[in-house]
Amino acid sequence: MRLTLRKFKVNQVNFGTKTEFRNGALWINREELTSLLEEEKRFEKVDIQLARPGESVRIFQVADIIEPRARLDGGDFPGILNKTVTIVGNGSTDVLSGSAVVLVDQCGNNCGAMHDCAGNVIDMSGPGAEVSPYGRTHNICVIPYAAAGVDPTTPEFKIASKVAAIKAAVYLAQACRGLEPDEEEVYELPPLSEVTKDMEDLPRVVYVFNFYRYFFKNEPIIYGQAFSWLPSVLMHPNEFLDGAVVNSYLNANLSSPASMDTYEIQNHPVILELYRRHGKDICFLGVIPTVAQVEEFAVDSQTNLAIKLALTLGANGAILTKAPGGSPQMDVANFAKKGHELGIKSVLILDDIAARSPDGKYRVNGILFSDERAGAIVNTSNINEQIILPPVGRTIGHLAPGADGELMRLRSAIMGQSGQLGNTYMVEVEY
Amino acid sequence: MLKPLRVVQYVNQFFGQLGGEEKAFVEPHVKEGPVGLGLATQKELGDGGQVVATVICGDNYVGEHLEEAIDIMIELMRPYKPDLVIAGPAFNAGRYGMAAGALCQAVQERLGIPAVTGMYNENPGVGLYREKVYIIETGSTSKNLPEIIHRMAKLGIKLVNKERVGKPREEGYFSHGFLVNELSDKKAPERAVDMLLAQFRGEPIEPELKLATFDQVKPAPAVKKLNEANIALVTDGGLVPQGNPDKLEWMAATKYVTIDISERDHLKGGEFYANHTGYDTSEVNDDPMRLVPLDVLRELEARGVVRKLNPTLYSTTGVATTIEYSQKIGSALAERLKADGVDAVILTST
Repeated sequence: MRLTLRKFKVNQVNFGTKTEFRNGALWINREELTSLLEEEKRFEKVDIQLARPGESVRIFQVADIIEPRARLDGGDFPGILNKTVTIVGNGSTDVLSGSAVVLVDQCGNNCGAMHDCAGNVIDMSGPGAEVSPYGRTHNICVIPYAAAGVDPTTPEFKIASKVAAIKAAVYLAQACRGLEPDEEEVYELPPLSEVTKDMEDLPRVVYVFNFYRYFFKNEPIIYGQAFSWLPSVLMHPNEFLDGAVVNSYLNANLSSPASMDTYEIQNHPVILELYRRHGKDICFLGVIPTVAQVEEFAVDSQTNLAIKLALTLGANGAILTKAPGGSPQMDVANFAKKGHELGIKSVLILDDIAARSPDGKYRVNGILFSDERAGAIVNTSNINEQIILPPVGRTIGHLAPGADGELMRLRSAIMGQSGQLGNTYMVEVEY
Repeated sequence: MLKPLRVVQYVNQFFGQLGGEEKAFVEPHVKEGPVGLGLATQKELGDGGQVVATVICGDNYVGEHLEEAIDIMIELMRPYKPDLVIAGPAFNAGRYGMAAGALCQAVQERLGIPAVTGMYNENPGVGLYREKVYIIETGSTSKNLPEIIHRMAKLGIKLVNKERVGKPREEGYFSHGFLVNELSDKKAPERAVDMLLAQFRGEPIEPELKLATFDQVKPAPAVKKLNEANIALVTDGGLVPQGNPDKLEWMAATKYVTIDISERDHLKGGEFYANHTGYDTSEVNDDPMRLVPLDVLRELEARGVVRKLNPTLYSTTGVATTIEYSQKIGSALAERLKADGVDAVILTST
């Protein structure tokens, strides 16, 4: 499998009469894009707004972020945008690097009327922008409005919104068709039978990517399907970079933490790091997706499947990330414990959700397990930290009183802080 | 040239070279310049600082009159206009450690200047004062004294100059126990691969999060006769009446709320809901009795399987709650349940 990412660097985004990419500027025909997205009958209309780095702008009610990418063969997001059998992760894909499609959720990702409706945010300047890479991208915001009689709090409307954002991302990247990219990145792993050649002395490493169990039955997550259970599956790292997997909603009627998004899966920081170290420090075998479970026996059973596959591949090292929330810690810790007994060394990448004391300090971390065999932990910050965002001049999102004023957000509600997949330098330190 | 730092040293009778246990009742007093261990501090400071006075107090005296001794020592120090106080190190001496910790805290609060002490990790002063005071970790005895003094002085000078203090491990002090977000020089995945490689090389690793520790709780004895028992319903699933009149938090709860069920056989969706960020609440919102089995308990009550269902249901939110508040809520609930005359609880968690 060989994937060439043809990167076009975006340093400007504007509305224009024709959707095209020219000299670093992305021009968008707003009407053409909205009429494409308004084909969805659940929408009354779809608004498109632009947010540029450095502007005094806050995007709120953010549900997901997608990097505009389009495969040269047109087989994007198989199972979601098309039912044709495209093998993603192999071939060439155009990337509008430095831009992002931001999906704004009509109910703010917080359907319950009793909750703060500003939800997850991106600030384009100030302290919020410093925390998030999406404060530095040129953002194309997709804002669907529910048609009469359509309840925007239902899974059907939310899934339609997600699909609209994915459609927009592909539509935009198709503007690069036939152009010469600024740079090309090639991602290639030879077949398993050859991958360890000349790397016999290096640790053989798998990445175990733990997903959330689905909440919306028909939500497209892996190749357009939702899984609450996965048998042992080996996935090629390139599949993640090329649209096989999108981020899921976590909760039907409360906020989903902003600690993971589709853009980050497309630019997966663990996969890119394992590629970078492949052949030098480690031998990268592939990716094993797992699904976080609720019942103890199910955690155990799902772990067994992943361990069995890792052993079959000949892995003796594993990097693990977890699904958002507290309980998936048990899923990844369980892998490390069992792996330890069977000759697989593991490192867990975990966010922390430390409880805040009344004096504003954080004293005890939110780690739920005590087993030393799962003790090799890298941290991606305490996402329960409060961050004060100063007032902004303009907001993008549905009406939310006070959203343009000073806003306190937990780090977990700031898009791009990367609690789960680790695209961050942030770390919690005990002083 | 900077003005040399003015340092006051605190020592016990032994390190003040008055003698051993027989001098442990010596009252607080001050001597000009460095005395006893103060000489080692002076040597460490060199030309950069001066031990302007040494305050000496016997361990028995301070052990029996802690507050009074601290008051006196603060007033003894004040005329010397110190920039920094170095207390001890106290190593494994309990009374000395407690005094050094209390003195450092008082110096910070009343003289408004930094203070540093040093102790062995089993000294009771560590647990009591580490959150408020910088305590350099020492061995149990005065071995490596010059190195300990070096660390104490170095940290003290940083505090005086308001320089950034490094991590506990780097500077050798007991952490205050505060978790703080900061930037690392490498991204998380890079550190993860580095940590993995260290394991393969057989090197020690430095985990970035501590593992959990749990209290051991002895289970209550089983209920002997259920048909004579008063049963209460308690949940941490965030159940509240519509409108959430008592304003139960949806995460990081600080309290519990009460729901009067004395007149109820059912809890209906719409009338009650789950105010909780930690799980998908839609099923509970449809039927709150799948969180608290009121219907089933009423049936068991009618059949005489249980004697009585407690008229009050207690509810809190169990997600991202601090240990402090969990303990407070738990103890308060236990008191209420005892006052209600409850024999057993069905505690539904989510």
